[in-house]
Amino acid sequence: MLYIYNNMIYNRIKLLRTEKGLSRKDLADAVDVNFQTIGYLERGDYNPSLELAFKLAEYFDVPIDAAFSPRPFLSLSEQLKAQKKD
Amino acid sequence: MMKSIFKMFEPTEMQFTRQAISRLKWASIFSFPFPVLTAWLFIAKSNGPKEITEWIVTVLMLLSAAAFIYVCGSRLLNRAWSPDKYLDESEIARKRQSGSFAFIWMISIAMVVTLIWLIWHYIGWPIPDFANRSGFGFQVLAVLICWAFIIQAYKMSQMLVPLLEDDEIAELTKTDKKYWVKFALWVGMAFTLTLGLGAFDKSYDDGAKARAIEKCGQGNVKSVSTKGLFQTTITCSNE
Repeated sequence: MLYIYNNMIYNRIKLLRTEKGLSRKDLADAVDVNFQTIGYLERGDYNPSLELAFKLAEYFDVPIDAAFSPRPFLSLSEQLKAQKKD
Repeated sequence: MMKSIFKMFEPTEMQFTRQAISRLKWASIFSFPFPVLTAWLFIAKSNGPKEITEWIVTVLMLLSAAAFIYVCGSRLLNRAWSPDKYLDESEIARKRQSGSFAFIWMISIAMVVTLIWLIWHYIGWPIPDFANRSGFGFQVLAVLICWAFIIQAYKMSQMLVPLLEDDEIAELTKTDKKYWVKFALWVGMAFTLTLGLGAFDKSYDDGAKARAIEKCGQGNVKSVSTKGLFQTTITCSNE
């Protein structure tokens, strides 16, 4: 059963944005929202609408579940450990 | 056309610093007394406060007027009254949340005021002079309406969180050269609002007194009572 912790959708927007070398304003303009919405998303203070989530995933060219998740994302070291086990 | 006007008043990045948000929170708290003090100026003042009380109230009114103007002029809070089509999704969510918060509080305050009024009325306690004036009900309503606006602004300011890192703030601060102009404008408006309301009240009272002297003659005025903005009841001592 899917349980959304603390009524929160986790995301990797900050990571994806900094990887691309974009400012919040650049990203906001690209997906047609205010920079504050991006800021709130990155801080985890706001859950995006489906439309915005799809727009962001499409903009970064990643599957939507790589950018958003109902569970906290694993850290890099946890991911490496999991890969080793496999 | 409207879209470009609303675009002009979009919040800037500088308004999401820790200090700017903190200023907004305090300003919204300090603006709560403004409508009450204004009501006092128009209603209770003529019921015999001493000069020193007037000075204290004027100073308090000036401070709360400054806070009120700061709240009214804030681009972040003004988004609460923009139509949804000019806002983006996180702004709409904030606007609705703060709106419903203000609504619940206003209903609660209105219920408490009504309850106090009913209890007062049924017990039959004497009504204070200032509450007995015809404009009192209107003043209470005006204060409540003003508070609805301030409560929503307060809730919105509580929902804001700082978004900028320290290095981003330093970069933006360099470009903000209009700081002193804005500050001077803000102080000027606070003075204008406070003194303007005071001057209006004084000229209104002076006008009523002048009409009374004209009607009764110097030294024959028994009482002057005003009802609303346009009705003045004058009683002469020789009537």
